Amino acid sequence: MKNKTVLFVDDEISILNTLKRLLRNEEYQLLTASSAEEGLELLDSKKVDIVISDMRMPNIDGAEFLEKVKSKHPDIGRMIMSGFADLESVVKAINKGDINQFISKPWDNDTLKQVVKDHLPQSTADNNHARQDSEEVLQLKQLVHEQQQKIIQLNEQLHELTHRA
Amino acid sequence: MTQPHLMKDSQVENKRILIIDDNKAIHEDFRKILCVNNQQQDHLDELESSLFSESTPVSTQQNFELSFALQGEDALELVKTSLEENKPFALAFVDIRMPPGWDGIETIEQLWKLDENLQAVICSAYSDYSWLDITRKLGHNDKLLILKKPFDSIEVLQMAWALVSKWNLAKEAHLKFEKLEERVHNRTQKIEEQNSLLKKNIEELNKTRNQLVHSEKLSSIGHLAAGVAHEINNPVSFISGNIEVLKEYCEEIKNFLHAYQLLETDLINDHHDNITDKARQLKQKREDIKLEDILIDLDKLIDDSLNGSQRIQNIVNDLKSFSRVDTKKPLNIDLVHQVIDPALRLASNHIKYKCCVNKSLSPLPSYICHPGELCQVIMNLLVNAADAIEGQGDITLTSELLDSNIKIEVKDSGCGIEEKHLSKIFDPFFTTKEPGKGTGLGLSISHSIIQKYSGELRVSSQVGQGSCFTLILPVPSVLNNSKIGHGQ
Repeated sequence: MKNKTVLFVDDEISILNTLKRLLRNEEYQLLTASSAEEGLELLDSKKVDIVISDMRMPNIDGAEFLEKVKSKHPDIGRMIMSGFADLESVVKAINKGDINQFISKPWDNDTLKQVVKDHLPQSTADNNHARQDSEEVLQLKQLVHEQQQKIIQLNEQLHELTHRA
Repeated sequence: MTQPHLMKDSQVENKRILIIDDNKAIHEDFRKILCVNNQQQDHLDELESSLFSESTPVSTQQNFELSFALQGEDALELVKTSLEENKPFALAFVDIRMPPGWDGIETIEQLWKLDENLQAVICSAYSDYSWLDITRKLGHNDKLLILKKPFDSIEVLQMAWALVSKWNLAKEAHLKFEKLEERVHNRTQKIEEQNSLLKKNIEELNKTRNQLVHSEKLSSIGHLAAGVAHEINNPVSFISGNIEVLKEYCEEIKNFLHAYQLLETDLINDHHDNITDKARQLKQKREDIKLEDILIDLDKLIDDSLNGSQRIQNIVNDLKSFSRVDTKKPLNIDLVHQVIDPALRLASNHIKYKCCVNKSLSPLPSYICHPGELCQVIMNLLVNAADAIEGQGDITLTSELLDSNIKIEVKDSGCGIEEKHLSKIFDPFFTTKEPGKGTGLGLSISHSIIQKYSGELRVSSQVGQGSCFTLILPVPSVLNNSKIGHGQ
């Protein structure tokens, strides 16, 4: 069961086709959109973990698209994939889109797969480390929660004491 | 510049006179006439005259230097030596009869062979030679006078003075002429130098102009390089991605075929033991690798890749047509397909993300030109149009034939050009773009390219409404109209 989802946005259908082929055996679901508008629509209806967008697209470019993604779905990982790597567009992508990663076109398949894997939220199903980590996190959260409760109690006691006085 | 002047005694440099006479007494006569200080004292001896001259120093002027020869041959030697010492004689008095040697005519003839400037006076008591004979031998010239014997001393003196002066004047004139010639020569040389400098400057200017055209071309290609790179990058990306997938597909299909071969061998050899198992495995494998999907996708993969490679090919062709500026020979081409379309495709990446391009291209007559040059012009106009648009806008590209003029128009809905800038936009280096964004040469070079074709590049603009650049190219011959290309 593929419980993670990656969305690719590119105005070039052939690029989307190739990405679908290349990543067909990966452990995540693959969605594609051929424009920023289409991508935003998809994000409203589906749960997505990472968005990877082309930089140069008509109407809304990659940086502006990812800026919108960030404000609407701040938890989704954002990456730019572009062959148009002049400084201006990279700066725009980083500042506006607040991206996690810049992937240049043409991409290297293995690097692309690795980058996507690295940025996907840790899955509990296939990673022992991840499970251990999350157990530790759970324990820590529990601990924090308990401490907070204690502080609240102490606070209330203090409050009562001061009122009485 | 020296002013022309009358020759004064002090300026007479050469006062050397040669007396040729076989009679020594005559030598003395000449000496008395020419070496005394006053015409009235021609009968006094030298001592007396020098005494006299001391008392009247004013009249020492005609102090000629005399040399004497008894025979023509001796005279020739003297003349020869005088020339060698660079002290030529100005004048020779020559007796006509000088036995046993050359006579006067012969002597003068010989002397002139050596020194053509020598003035000569023939002294004759006899009419043994007629003037006709003399001129027949010596020719008509202004260097010869005749002095009849017996001499009149004043006549001799005046003759000596006049001819010596004449010699010196001629010499001076000659020198002046030489100087003049030298000056003319120098001036000519200077003019020639300046000429060649000018030529060099013009060459340099032409070279610079060509370099400017070239650098502007490079700049516009550089301007578009990112776009062109992107345009090539996309197909390269998906083609290489597709090929990697194709490799994986092949691997899986090969594996499946191998399994199928094993089953086939078993069937042929009648090994029916595990045949059902093997068939089931084969089916499983087929489902695992999604063979049907692969087969369906194969066609799409190949089509995509072929389209991509075609796109790269088109871009490369467009770049080629752009770089054809340098080909010497003009080509007879279809402007719509070989200039406007490639320019639009090359510029498309620069403009397609912000502009909607409306094309209205009527067929144009075939036109003789350097396609690269006109491609450069159209591309420049398109890029300018796109740069004038902030946000989203429209570019309208039209072509039509009006009478015998080709009209190509690039219209944009951009910011327009301020009126104060309108008169300057074709000036070299004028730009309103930020430093580093434009060379300020695009329109200037476009203008000069169009002028080369006897055409016109016009502009009309309204701030806030947009600009319209109109290119008019006269079609040279009506015959060309018979061949009309197909526009879109």
